Amino acid sequence: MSSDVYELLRVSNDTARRILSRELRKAIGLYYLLWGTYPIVIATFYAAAFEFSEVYYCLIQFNVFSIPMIYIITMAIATVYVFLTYRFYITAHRVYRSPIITNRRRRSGLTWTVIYTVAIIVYLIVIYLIVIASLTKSNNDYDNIIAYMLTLAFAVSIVLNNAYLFKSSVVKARYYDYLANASFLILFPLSFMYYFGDYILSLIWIYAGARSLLEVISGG
Amino acid sequence: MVDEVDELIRMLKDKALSSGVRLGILIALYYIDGYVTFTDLHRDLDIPKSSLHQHLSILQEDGLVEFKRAITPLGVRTVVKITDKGKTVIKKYLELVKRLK
Repeated sequence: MSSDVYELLRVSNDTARRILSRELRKAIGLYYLLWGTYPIVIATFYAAAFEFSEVYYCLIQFNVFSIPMIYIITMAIATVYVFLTYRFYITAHRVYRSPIITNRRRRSGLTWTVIYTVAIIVYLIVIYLIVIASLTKSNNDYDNIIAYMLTLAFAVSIVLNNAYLFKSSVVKARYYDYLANASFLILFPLSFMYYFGDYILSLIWIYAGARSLLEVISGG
Repeated sequence: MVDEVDELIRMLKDKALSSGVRLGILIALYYIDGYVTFTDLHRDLDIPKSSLHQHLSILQEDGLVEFKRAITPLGVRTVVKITDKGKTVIKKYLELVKRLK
């Protein structure tokens, strides 16, 4: 191929990477902001229901498949959030799979293999412990351990998913990405015992979202 | 291999794809698969607005992108979106590049 064609391909790759890195960073920022608001939305919903005691009573008493209505509404809100997140993940996945976009500045495959292997082993151990714990006689302490392990397993899967977004190196991981993911890993499993953990998490994720959008605006 | 190189070179001789910036915009739009505002593209690429407008007009003339005013969450903005024809062209381009690699 002539040097002109190589130059054209190089410029096109650079241009595409530049647009995609900004658009993906914007999407990551919106993702942080979106999920950062989730505890606030749920708290607002609960507070509003509690203010009108008849509504709260109905939501607690009215069951669908033995599940109180209030939990179903909470899950429905989460479903809307998941739907909004889905498209973003699809785009990130397509970019990561791209033969030309991931060609340059690609991180060492070995590093990612090690990270993923360790993470998967931890994940499997956690699942194994959950199964063992659930087969053991259940009392309050065991219930707490099981709940903690379940939420920890969930947090690990989300953080692994988030790590995947940075695998392509189209988007560079910043300190606020580490902050958001580390806080999720620590605070989310604890938040079912200490509710304030949810709100700290929410603040950190909103901060990470705001910083991400500022990065896009300032061109950092 | 030779056929693929020839095909790629033939493809890149087309006026719309003969510029790296236009090809890059089209590839990015293919992956985003949605609207991107003119302002965002301008900020991302750091080229004069007139040049960007010219690049997008050439892509639009070939029916590879849609380029219009639309309502966005930030207000009325000029937005750009890849067309089905554009997607087909980029898909073919990416397949060729993948085979060459």
